Amino acid sequence: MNSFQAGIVISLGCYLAIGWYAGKRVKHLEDFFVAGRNAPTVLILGTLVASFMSTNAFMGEAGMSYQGHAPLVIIMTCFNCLGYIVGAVFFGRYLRRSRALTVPDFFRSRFNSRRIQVFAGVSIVAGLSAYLLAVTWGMALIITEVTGFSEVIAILMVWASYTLFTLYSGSRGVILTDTVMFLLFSSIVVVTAFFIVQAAGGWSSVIGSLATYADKPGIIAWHGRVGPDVYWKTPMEALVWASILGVAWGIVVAVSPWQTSRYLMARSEHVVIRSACGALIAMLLLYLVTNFAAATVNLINPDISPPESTMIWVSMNLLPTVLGAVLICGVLAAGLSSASTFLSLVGFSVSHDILGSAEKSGEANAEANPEESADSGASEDKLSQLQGGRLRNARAAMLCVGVTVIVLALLLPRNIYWLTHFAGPLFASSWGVVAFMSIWSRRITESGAFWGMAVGFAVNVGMNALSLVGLVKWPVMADPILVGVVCSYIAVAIVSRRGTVTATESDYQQGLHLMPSAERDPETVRQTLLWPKVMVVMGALIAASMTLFYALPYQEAVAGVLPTIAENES
Amino acid sequence: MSGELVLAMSYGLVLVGAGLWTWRRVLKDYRDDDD
Repeated sequence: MNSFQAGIVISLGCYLAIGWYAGKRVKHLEDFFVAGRNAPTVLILGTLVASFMSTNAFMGEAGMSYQGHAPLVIIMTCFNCLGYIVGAVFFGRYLRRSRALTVPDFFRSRFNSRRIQVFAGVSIVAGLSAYLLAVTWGMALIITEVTGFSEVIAILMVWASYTLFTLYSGSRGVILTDTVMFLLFSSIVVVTAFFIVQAAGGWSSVIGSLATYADKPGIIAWHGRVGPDVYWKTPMEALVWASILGVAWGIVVAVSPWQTSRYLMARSEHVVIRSACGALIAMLLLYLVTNFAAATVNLINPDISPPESTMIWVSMNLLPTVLGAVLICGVLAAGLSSASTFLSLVGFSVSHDILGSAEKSGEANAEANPEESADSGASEDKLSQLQGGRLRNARAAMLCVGVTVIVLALLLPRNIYWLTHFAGPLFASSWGVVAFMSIWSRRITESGAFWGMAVGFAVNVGMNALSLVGLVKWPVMADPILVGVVCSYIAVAIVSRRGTVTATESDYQQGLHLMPSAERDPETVRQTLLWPKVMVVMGALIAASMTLFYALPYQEAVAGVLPTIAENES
Repeated sequence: MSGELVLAMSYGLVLVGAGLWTWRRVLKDYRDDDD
């Protein structure tokens, strides 16, 4: 067994052990679905970042940066990471206040509507199962490349590892393993970037060489590579593309179930806000380091093919063997953390949102709050039986989902890029408008919310399907995510105008704005205010560092080359 | 001012702006009487 094989087996074993440890503490439905609603900031922060950054971040986007588009990834990150703050402040903390078990469960309570819960549940099953497939294939591809295992073995290994601990430990295990994985891939990426820069001759040499890099001109210019031989013909076209996709993915970050459902597990609203602040800082730093490092690899080997395997090449050829194995484990960890989150959410939606009846939803909430149920006269034994039954159902549903995914993963043709591109943004189009309006609008009706979701979903899927079969190539201004959002809003506005908001819906909406007194504790507020302070300090440091170590040396290097070119031409 | 300088400054200032806004929002929501 070589170092890579050993590293992968050991890391998978560790995740299973952590999952087993966390699973032992699962006693109630709330433990399984929302980790007992008692998670501290570090765990919510860890699971937010780990769920968002999958293998795509270290393969697809790193490959894009290797090809000369790191600045575009950086610009996109500027926009989409703001989704953390917007999502937490305007949706996430109210979602947590609702004490729902799942996000579709929140929509059911808010609009007193079973059909909205089912529709939202079905969109989770469709969107996240597709994403899960893509991540499973991505991880299997890495294992196949670095260990020589067959693809079938690799798929089975990956599937078994995330399915087993998710099945046993539910959200308790998922957020714990996510945080361990977040720490692993964050630290190894920083170490890897250091090795890459050293191998390329040190930072000042790297900036000088990349600024004047003839093979991929403009590789670290503010717009990246542009011109007739790449997708973006002009700098402005590149900027518009990155900005629009950044905003679109910002909506995904703000409302998608694999991000917002994390807030349901938070110990308090302050944990929601603090973890969103932390996630914003972590993502900005991680994307900066990862993508500049990937661009720098050009100076060591300009011929890596396919570009998506840049980090795999680095792990196998540049890093010391042990660190290379850790990097592979880190990239796999990014995929596994997303996969476990997706599997758990799909399982929860099947068992609770789709198969559970309206009465069962209420019953589940009663189970989730045994003290309240005891007040209403239910005996502890009966509650315990109910809890056990619902837990078994949830696990059985998750197992069925897992088995379906493994069958699809083995049978379907691989299309990682399209599935990722389709599944991620689906929720922005379908849920984005309804999520925010469910908190802030007094005029949105149940029908408006339902049709808003349905229209956003249909427009996004329809536009992507037309693009996939090659009938249409959508211009960046008509990105399916944003068109879906706009159509969803129009549908909500038109349908809501024709109906009336019921007293139940209105009362629930107003209830969401009643601040629990515990959240106003001055000491807790003071601690929360530390996080924005850190953001301001970190932001100033990043701006100063990027100016001193990137913008100014870049200008110097380019200015040094221009006279030489002029002399040669004359 | 070059595009690279704007990119460098903007990347950090996004965090500064978000931090200042969050600071004000937390104070407004959790220290005032009304949500």
